[in-house]
Amino acid sequence: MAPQSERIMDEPVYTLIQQTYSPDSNLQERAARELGACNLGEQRLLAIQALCGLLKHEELSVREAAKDSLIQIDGASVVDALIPYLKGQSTRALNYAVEILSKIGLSDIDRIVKLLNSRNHDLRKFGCDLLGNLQYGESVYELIDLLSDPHINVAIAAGEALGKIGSREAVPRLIQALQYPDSWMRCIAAEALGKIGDARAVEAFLDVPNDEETIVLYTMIKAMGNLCDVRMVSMILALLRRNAKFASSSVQALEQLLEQCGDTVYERLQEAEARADVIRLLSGPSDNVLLTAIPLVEKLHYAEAVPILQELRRHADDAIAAAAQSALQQIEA
Amino acid sequence: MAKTILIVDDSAVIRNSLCFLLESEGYAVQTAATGLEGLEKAQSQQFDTIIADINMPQMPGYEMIKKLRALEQYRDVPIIIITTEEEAGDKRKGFEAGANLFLIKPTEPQKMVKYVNMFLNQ
Repeated sequence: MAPQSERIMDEPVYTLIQQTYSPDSNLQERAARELGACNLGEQRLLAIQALCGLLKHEELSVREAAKDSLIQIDGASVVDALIPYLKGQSTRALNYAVEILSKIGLSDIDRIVKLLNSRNHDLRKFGCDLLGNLQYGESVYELIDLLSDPHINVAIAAGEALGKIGSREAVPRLIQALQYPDSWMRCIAAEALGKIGDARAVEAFLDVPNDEETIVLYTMIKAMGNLCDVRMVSMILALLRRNAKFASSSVQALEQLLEQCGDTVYERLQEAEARADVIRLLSGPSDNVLLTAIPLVEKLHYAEAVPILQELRRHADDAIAAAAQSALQQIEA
Repeated sequence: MAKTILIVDDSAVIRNSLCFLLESEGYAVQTAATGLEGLEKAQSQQFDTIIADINMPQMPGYEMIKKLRALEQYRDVPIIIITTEEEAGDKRKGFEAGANLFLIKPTEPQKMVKYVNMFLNQ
């Protein structure tokens, strides 16, 4: 039903708003798209409300149109209208609210930061997710505090956000989080430390207990590739020798270290007699490991790998065959 | 031939870690970051088990699972929800959508492996 003020409203925009309530989803989608491109004037709030309503729509295309338009409209009033959807009455709308606010949240960042103090742990978690996605550096201390939130998913989200923001201030607390009892929390802390790339994480990784869970060690190996420190080479090789499951992540981390630290890593690999370990990976059954190990052998110019590379040139997987061919050319050149 | 698993989760850390964990157990694992991507991957290739989050962009896990269950090829495939949503209503919605198991994050990694092995009779 049209409100009384209809007569004084800008007719085309009001018509589009009405069309968003139509039973015809094609019309709804088109209206939603057009609203994003309109000068909404005084009907801005009505339009935002109508578009937010469409985020629950059955049809994906209608929801996507509403999302795109809300991003286009932007502004504090869109942020304001979307915050209540984070309470999650509609899962569809909640997910869209997170997606849209991750793009336009800076328009009213105080509203987003306030979520961190909510009594509702879901809202605190979404607040962390949003600030991480927005890479909002000014919220770092609030996020650091939430690393000890009583609700573990909030603490995990805070750790993930700090990694995305790349906050060096968070390093000491993230190092502490490597000792948390929850293994996912330790994974997130390791990942965040790798993303931040601060030298203080090196000592913490070197001190990791021998009986640490495999999944945490895997995340640490990946993070080590980002810490430009040659001591990581020996540790990665030790973990690789201990557990073949780390083959792919170890090779990727070594490659990253080679790229970032160059000759010093190459020398350390020679000292650590890594040749046999790396060449052995070329005989493994996993295509993923082969795809990462071949370029490493190429970079290291291991002539002993030539016979295996000649075999791999005939591999059924074209990508592996091509990588082997390229490595052979480089080594033999 | 290794059994195949599709992991659908918008968190890259969770996706990669679960992928590592299950590949270590000998499964062939693929991943998707949104419900829509998950649905498309599941339609283009048959998986033996699907692990899905609920809160994801474009299409929530519930909707993806409902759509999968409507497909003949996924009528009996085990689907595990892994989510931070912990209300009884969320659990009910998960089962109504067609999930076989509802796990609340953070789920211990070894527990996850145990359930997948159980479903896939390893």
